[in-house]
Amino acid sequence: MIEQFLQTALGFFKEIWFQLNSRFDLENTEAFNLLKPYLIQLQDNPLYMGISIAALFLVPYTLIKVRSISKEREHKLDELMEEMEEEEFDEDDPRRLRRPETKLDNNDEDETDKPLFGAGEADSSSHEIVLDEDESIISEEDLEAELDEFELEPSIEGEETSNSEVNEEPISSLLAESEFDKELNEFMAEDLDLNEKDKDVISELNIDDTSHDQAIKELQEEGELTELEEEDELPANDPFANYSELDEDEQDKAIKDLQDEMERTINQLTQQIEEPDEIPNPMKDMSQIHIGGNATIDEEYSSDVEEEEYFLEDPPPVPESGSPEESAASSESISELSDSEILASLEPELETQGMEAKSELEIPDTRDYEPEASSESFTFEPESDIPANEPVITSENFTFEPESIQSEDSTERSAYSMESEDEPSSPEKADSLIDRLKFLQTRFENRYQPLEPISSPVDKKIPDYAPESLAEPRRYTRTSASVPPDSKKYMDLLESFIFMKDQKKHK
Amino acid sequence: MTNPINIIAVGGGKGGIGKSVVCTNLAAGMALSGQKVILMDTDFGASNLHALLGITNPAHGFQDFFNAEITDPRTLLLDTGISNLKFVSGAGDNPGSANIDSEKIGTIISFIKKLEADTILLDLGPGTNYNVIDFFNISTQGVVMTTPEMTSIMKTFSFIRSALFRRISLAFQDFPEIQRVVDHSNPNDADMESYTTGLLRSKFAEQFPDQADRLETLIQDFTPGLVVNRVRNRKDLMAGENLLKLVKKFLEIEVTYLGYIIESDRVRDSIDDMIPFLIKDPQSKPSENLQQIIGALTNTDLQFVKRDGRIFVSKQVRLSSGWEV
Repeated sequence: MIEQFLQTALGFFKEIWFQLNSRFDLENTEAFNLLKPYLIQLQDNPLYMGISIAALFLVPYTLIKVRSISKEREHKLDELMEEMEEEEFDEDDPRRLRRPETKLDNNDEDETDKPLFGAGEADSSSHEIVLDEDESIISEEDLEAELDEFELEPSIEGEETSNSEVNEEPISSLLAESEFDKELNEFMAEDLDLNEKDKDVISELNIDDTSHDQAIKELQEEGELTELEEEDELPANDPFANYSELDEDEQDKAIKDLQDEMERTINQLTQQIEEPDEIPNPMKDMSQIHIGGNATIDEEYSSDVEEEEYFLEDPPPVPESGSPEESAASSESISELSDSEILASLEPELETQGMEAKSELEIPDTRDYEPEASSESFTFEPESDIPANEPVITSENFTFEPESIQSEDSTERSAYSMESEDEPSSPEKADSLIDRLKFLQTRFENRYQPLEPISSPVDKKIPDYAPESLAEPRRYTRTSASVPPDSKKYMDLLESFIFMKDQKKHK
Repeated sequence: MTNPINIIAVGGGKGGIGKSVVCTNLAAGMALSGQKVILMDTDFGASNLHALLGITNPAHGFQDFFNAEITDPRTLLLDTGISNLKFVSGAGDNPGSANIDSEKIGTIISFIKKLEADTILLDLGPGTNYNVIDFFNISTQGVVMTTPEMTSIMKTFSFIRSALFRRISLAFQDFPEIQRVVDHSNPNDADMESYTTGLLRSKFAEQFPDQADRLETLIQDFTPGLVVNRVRNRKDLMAGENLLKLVKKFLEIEVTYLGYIIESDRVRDSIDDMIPFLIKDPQSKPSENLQQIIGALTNTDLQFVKRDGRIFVSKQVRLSSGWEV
């Protein structure tokens, strides 16, 4: 039976072999010649034959099996990892960490403070959980005050819910007729009033926000305008537009001019940076803008002023004064390279500053309040009462004298001396200088190409010339850093370090 | 009959390879083994040996040679707190004091040679200038140090070559023609072609055949010892072997391999503590390495043991061949 099976198997294999051999001429291949003696041996010995056949089937089977086992294990491992990750996540979850503590705290409170608060309140309010630690120290009113602070931030809806919570919570027998509820109700009423006030403020803020946004829009539009003008004009006047067509001397000159201008711009920029008094405080800026508006602040203006100040501002006069003509003038100055024109380019800016100052002066009401905004040391103390007489003094201090503007320098100086006026102009100037510097740099880098319309002067183009050409050619060969010290190469290297190139007689 | 003073100079071309530390510990070890030792800081201009010994504001030093006449040279010898060990400081070095003239160097050398001690250890400064090399060449046993870094090996090779050529130069001081070949300090008036011993030999054979034997003797007598410091692994030890090969190949001299000292934080700690590591921790690995080096230098087998804060030294003198079992 076995023999018969083997014979049929052999016949089957022979047939396969015959077919393959006839098609691919396998008998003449080197591999077959190599395997031939072994195959003959296999044919002669049935044991070998059996082993080889078994091996033929077993080896792939084992491989497949091993792979499947490993896959299963991987899958299990992944599952385990996921489980572990989930567990870790749960363990690290701060909510999970807090909850038991709060429960414990609540339990403790239940023993001590149950008569006052009841069990439900502690559970219901998440703010109280944070306050739990201090609860033993602070009084009820303090706690309520703190609660107020927490509840002020959420909207009115939140308060309503808290109100409902107060109503829903089980009231202890002592608290049922106690004054606590009254106080609480009073407090909540006050709270609501406060919120109404807040509503008003928020509405005001919203209005101011829109106006502020509008101002920003205007500014942006204006900036875009100036940029567009620059784009339009610069390529026409740009000496680098046809840089590659210029003579060498002209090219050199153009580069030199550009470099000079860049240096000058940098110097101006550094000069401006180095003058600490002239660098306006951003807070001042904002306050300045704020002052420029028609809004008034009550005498009882509280600590919220500092935050609200940013939103109460009116459209700043700066963009209004900076007309497109002036920006065009500045763009012209950028397009030209001569010194006088560079200096001239600064004039409109200074004039703009003057204009800004004037435009701000036209609103004298702004200095009726908040003298800190215009004081040199700008110490904003929101809680301190602002004396009613103070504004008179400040208005004197900040009386603008247009007669003093005689020259550009004096304008600049006077503008700087009056901080309230110069504040918006200084950062603008710095920005414009930076922009121009970046623009010049871009143009310098792109001098070998005619300038394409620049999307933004800040955008930097990758230089087209190859920097490798400027690099000094290497005169030494880099050797491997990890030469084993027991190798001949190491010794050769050592010798090469000791002796000079012409000292080769020793070899 | 008095034994000649054993002068051991510890040098090496590169700075910061541990010359001073090793020199201090060698001196301490030799002193503890019973020898009268004088340790000298000849690193003028950058001396720091007194700091390693914890001697603050040394009262005297080599600066006395430069500032005033010394009435009694013995005043220069400072106590170190280690029995049998005296110290001559180089502290108080003023700016530029490293550039002392050869006359002063000669004075110091004659002073050293007059001292009464079993062993004088000279801690040399880095570099290969003649002020350093001349101190090295007065030694009866020169010890050159290196670390496994290639730069250190290069500098140590340069140091050995400079010392050898200086030695030859001083030996042939009366022969200006030979000076041209040997002394390359003035490149305009020197024969720069002889930068290895082989080239020097051929030059001598060609131009000064009658002095060739003397040259040969000088070369043969020059047998410095080598210590490889800051060894971290077996590969680092190869650095020492490479240096020996290099010296053998280009200078054709026999450098005695004295041993190595492993890199250890204990050494660094001992510097911070201002106590030689051999005394602080005599059973540590660097101390064992150092004991082997002392043994190679003094032909003894030393073993230091610290018990209850006291150091016990067992010393076995190695017998010459013929007595060995």
